[in-house]
Amino acid sequence: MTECMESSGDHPVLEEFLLHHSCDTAKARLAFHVYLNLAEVRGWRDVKLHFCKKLQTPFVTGRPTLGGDLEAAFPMAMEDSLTHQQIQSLFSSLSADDHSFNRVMLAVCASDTSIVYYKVSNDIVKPEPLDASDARKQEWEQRAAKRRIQAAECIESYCQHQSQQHDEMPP
Amino acid sequence: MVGVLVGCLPRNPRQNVHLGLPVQLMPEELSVLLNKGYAKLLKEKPVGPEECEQRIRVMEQERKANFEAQQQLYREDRRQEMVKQMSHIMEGKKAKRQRLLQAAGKDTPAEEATATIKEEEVCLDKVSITPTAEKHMLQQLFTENPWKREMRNAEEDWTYPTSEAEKVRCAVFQDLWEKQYYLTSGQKFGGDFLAYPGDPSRFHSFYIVMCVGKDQPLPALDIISMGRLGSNVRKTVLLASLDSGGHAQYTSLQWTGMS
Repeated sequence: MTECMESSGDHPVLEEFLLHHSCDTAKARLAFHVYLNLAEVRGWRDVKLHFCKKLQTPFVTGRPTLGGDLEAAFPMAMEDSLTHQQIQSLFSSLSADDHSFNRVMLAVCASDTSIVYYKVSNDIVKPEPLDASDARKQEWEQRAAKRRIQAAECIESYCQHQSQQHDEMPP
Repeated sequence: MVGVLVGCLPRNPRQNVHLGLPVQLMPEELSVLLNKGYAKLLKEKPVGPEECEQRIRVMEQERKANFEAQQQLYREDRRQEMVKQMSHIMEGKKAKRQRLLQAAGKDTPAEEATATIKEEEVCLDKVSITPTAEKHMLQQLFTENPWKREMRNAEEDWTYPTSEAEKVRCAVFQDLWEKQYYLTSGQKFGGDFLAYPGDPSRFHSFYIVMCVGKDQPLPALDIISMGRLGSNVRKTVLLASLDSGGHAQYTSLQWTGMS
């Protein structure tokens, strides 16, 4: 992962971040990787890279849904370990724009660039009841079906457009 | 306190799906009970050889008396049965008598035969009933210790918790117990405890409690496997440790749902 990212020009966001904060490069790259994943792959909004002075580590904030709550993601390499005390300190140390977090996503990054996210919360959280998770699954499936239909329609109209153009081209 | 039933159910002995008293407590449960003064820990004073001898003698006497009483009851029972079957017995005797008379060549009329039998009417008291052997007697199995016992207070003998891990478990258990959670052993799900919002027989557990030292490093893979376990069984994993002040602190671990 580090090899492919050590190109001649880094992403401007990463460059700016390294400029402003005296942060360990490896940690910065890890955090930037999470930043990209959340912003481009997961579709989070207002994704920003921050540096926590107290813990001397970078972290990422963003909104999973448009207009939704701000969430924090703490990057962690798969080979790392955290003590419970350190996890607890995340809640008191991480803050962005005077917004502290009672819940943090632990972003565990593997060397193959895959990331696994787990929610850690500062209190005792009840598990989701069966009907709520069923409803969520159903909603997700409906959205996926809709996306598939839309994609198929786009492809169809593009193909039609192309064949039309081909017909109209002068010999 | 939930505990685990580990005894035989007297009404349904030959199975171990439903068990009865006694109840076995976890060390943490006992510690909480003793700490709060809800229970006393007792131990039986040891029994000397003379008392053992005396107990043996008492048992032998009891068994003998029991056997005699059983024999008496058995005799009564047999007599009652004979009274009920009296008509059949008479018929049988009559038929036998007739066969014998015919075989002997004498051709006596039926009335004469009946008359003779009436004379020899079965006298119940004279009927001998063979006693049964002692090996067939019914033996009582006591479901409670039948002996008078002397107990002494054994709280000083209770040294739990000693190690750091035990101390964390004990403190976390007490804290969750005070928060009104029902707690049982968590071995089925690879945790220290299972926490229920109510009676375990009526609810599924909500939380798998894992007790860790506050400075114990948890590898990322362990955190992931804990989270995975929780999401697969629809429970929240609760990481519990004691802060520097000795108070329990909890972190919930849940899957984000992002695949």
